[in-house]
Amino acid sequence: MASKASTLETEMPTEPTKRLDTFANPNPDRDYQIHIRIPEFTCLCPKTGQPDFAEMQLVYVPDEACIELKSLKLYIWSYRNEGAFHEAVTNRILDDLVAATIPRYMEITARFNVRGGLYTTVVARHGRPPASLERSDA
Amino acid sequence: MLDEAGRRRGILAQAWPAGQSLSPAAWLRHALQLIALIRRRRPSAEIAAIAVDGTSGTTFLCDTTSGRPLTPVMAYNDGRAGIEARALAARGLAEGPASGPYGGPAKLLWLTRHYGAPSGAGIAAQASWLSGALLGHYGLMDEHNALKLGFDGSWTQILRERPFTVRLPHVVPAGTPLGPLCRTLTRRLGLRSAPLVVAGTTDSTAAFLALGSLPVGCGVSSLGSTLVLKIESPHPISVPEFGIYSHRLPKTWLVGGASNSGAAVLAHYFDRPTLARLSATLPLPTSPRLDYYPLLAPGERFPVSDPRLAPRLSPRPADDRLFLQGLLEGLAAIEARGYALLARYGAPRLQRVVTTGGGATNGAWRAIREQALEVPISLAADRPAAFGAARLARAGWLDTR
Repeated sequence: MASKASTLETEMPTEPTKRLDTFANPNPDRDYQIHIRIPEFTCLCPKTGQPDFAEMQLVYVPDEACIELKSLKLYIWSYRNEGAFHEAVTNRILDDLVAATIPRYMEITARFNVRGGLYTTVVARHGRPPASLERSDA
Repeated sequence: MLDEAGRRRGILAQAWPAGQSLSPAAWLRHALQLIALIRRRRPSAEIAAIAVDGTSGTTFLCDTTSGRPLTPVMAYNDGRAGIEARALAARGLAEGPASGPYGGPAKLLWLTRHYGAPSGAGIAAQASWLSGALLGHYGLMDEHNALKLGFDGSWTQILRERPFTVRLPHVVPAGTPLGPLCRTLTRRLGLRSAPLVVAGTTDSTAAFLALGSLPVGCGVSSLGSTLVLKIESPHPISVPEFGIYSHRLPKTWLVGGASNSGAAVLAHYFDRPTLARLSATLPLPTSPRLDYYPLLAPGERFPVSDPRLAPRLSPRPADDRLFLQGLLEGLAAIEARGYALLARYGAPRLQRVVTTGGGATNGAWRAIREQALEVPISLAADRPAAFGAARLARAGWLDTR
């Protein structure tokens, strides 16, 4: 059994990765919003090593490129065993997504689950929302 | 074309007929044809502002009143001014973006020697001349194009001494509103109002500006025939001995360097189908450390500035896959060394890289670069440099409102 488990560990069909892929925005002439809900984000507390969990909400107005969802999933997964402060990891994810897509506007809201009786929500933004669009908290 | 909110509204291109790329009259003719085309395609739209980007270092002498070219145009890659470059180096212009046979002073000296410099002659760059032709007056130049011609806060002393007797343009920051399109052209093009002409930039800076706003610590690597690295910095960095120079942006500085290595070396050894076929098999899990420095000819500018640096491309393994991997690893090592050098001289620490240029889509190269640079690498969607010029035009237009 042990050798079978080991085989499974080494032959996973997908692996977490920090590589983000994109595809061409089909409607670059129009400002429109993309909302992506990421309900299963997890990383480690850098102080205690205990797991932290958050629900993230990504909202962006694409320019030339949109984020490809499978790569986003694998990217989010890549934090599972990494130690990260809430504030740092939210900003890092925003910067990585901005570098990958170079959007007209992007905003990420990370609502971390309770820790020590406290809830933390981190909101980070890149650029200004286009005047034609209202900022959404959906 | 961008609209007033900065959104992309289309691309109109005019192909260069053979033999016209060094003709100022053809530059103007094609620019006017493009404006007329925009009018036809978007009859209800008003052209508010225009900015021009041009190849940096493409220069000639023109009459500063009429704009009439007084010499042929020397292209950015015209290396005929070798003797003049050595003479200027002996007088103190040995380093920096304006030095060498491709720099402005050596080319201008070559032009002066071969064609003379009558009174009224002035220095022109491709973008500044075309902007002048649109304005109807010459004598202004954007700071980005001026850098390679010998301007670094002020014009180099060498250009103000004999044998140079040419007029030096007044230099303004890129994005500065210069004035309206001249009446003659506004009438000829049938425009309701004269668009604002805004100081333009160089091709490579326009390519950077086309990307839009990037996070701090985001490098931009252009994997074209040569390898060009850029990163935004809160302060300028100029290290001529390592080929590092800076272009002023509205609030920051664009710091970078250009290596003579790049995809041209790959194209020299492999045709396109072979390159694609071999790349699909890379990176190999194990490979010998070949420690190549891929160059087509001796001489490097950045991150090593050594005009005699020899290519290091041996031993060549019998297996072409290993050879290509060695080339890609050599290019990635130069890129990593380049960013490390920029950081050593004060640029922000590299945290991620956006890739542009023809080599960006090579998956093997990307994987090898990720290992060498140790930061996430992304690929910028196709954004022509003209978008960067359009962004400048919009910025200059917003300044006047």
